[in-house]
Amino acid sequence: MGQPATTIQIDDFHVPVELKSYSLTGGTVGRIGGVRMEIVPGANGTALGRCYQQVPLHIVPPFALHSARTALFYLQNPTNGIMDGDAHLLDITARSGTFAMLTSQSATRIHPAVNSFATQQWRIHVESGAVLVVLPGPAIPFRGCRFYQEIRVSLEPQAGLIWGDLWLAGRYARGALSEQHVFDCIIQDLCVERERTPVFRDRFCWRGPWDRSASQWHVGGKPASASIFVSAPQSILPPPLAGAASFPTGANDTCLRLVGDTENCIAFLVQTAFAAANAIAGRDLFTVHDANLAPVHWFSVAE
Amino acid sequence: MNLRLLQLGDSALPIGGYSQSWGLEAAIQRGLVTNAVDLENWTRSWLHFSLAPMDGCLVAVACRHAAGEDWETVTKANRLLEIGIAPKTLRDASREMGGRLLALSETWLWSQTVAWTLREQSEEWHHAPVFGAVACAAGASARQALAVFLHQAASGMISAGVRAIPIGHTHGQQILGRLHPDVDQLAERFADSELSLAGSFAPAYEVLCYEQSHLYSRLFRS
Repeated sequence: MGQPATTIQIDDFHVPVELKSYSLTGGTVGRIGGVRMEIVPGANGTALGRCYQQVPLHIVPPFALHSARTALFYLQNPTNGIMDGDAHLLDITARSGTFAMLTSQSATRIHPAVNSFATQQWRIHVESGAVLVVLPGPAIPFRGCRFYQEIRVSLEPQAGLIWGDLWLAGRYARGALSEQHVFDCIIQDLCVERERTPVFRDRFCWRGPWDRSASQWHVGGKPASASIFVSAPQSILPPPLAGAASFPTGANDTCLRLVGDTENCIAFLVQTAFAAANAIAGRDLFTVHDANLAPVHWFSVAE
Repeated sequence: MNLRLLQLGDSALPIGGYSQSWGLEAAIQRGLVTNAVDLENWTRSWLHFSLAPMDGCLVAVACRHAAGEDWETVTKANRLLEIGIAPKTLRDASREMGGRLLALSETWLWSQTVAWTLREQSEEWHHAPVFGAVACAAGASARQALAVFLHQAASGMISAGVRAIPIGHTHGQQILGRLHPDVDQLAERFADSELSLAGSFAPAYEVLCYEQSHLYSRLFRS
C-alpha cells in the first residue's frame, strides 16, 4: 500500500504576509512532515487507501465506529507538540461512498516561538457521497507562540464535510504558572470551495498577548472557543446546544460557535459534529456510544 | 474640505444604519454594557477586533482598486463579505446598507459612473466595497476613506447605545471624540492591507449577535 513518496518539503507550505519576516526550519529531519492520505470504500466499510507519511506525523490504521461502514482515523504526532519552525502538511482525499472521522488523540501544544513560527496546513478534498468529519483537536497556544493554520477545502456538489476546531486559552490550569491568551500571534485561514467556487471563509489574525478587554471581546473571558463548519443547510441539523450560535452561511451551509469551559466546548464540538454527519448521511453512522472508542478527550466527557 | 466625503460619512445617510446595533442590544440585555464607559469600551473593541480587520480592510481595498479601475478586485471584496461574515444579521445588514448606498450613489452626479460600474459587476453589494469605491469617486485616498468609514460606524454604534442603554447625547459625542485616536490608528494600519488579509473572528461577539436575533423583544435588526 502506498503512493509514490512525494516528499513534503518546505516549498509545500504557504507563508502568510504577516509572517513573511520569518522562515521555517527547513531541512531538519522531523520538522517538516505530514500525511497524504486517501480514504476509500472497502469490502468491509471505509478503509485507508494510498498513504504517504513523513515524520513526525503518522496515521493509525482505522478503527471501525458503530457501523463498520465508518472509520475513525487517529493522527499521531509522537513529539511533544508543534515546535517553533515545525511545518505539518495534511493532504486528505475522501472518496465517494466513504464515512470517516479524522482526529488526534491528544491536544496539540503549540510551543513558544524563538526565531520563527509553526504551521499546520490542511488540503482536504471530499467527493460527492462521502462524509468526512475532521476535528483536529484542542489547540493550546503556549506563551509567545506564533502559529499559522491554513485549511483549504474543496467539495464536490454532494460532499459532506464537518470541520471543527477548538482553541484553548493556553496552559491555564497550572496554578500560579497559568497562561491565558499570552500567545504572540495566531493566524487561521479556512477557505471552503464547492465546485471551485468559494462558499465559506474564516480568517483571523489574533495578536497577543490579550488584555482583559480583548479576551472578553473574542472569547467572553472563557478558556475555550469552538467553531464548526458543516457543509449542509441549517434546516437539516438539530437545534444548536444551549449557549451556542448557529448561522446559515451565505451559500446555505452552516457555521456554529461556542465559547465556554473546555469540557463543554469539547462536548459541543463532538456531539454537534456527529449529529451533523448523521444528518448528512441520512442515518446514524457516527456515534460516541461505541465500544471501539478509546476514552480520549473527545469521547470521555459526560453528556 | 471634501464635502462629498463629508456627506458619505454622514450618520443621517438613509441607508438603514439607524436600525442596526451590531450585537450591542444583546450585550445590553446581558448586562455587559450598562453605561457610557462600557459603551466606549464596547465600541473600541468592535472597531479594533471586528470591524476594521474585515469591513474596514475591504473599504481600503475597494478604494485603492477602484482608483485603478480594477473592478474585479472590488467585486472579490464584495464576495469575501458574503462568504466571510458568519452572523446572518450582520451579513444581511451589510448587504442591505450596501444596496441602499449604491442606489443613493446613482443619484449623485459625482458618483454615478462608479455606481453604474458596480451595478454592472453584481446585483448585490455589501456596504464596505460600495463605500470604498464611492469614496474613491469623491477623491478620497484609501486612508481617508477608511477613517471616514470607521468614524461613521462608530457614530452609528454610539447612536444605538444612546437609545438603548440609554445615555445622554452629550456622553455619546464625548465617546466619539475619545475614539478619534483609535480611528486614526486603524486607518493608518489597514489602509494598505491586501484583500487576502481581510478577516476577523471573535466567537463571543458572534454568539452575542446570534442572541440578539433571538431576543424576545428588540429595538434593532442586528
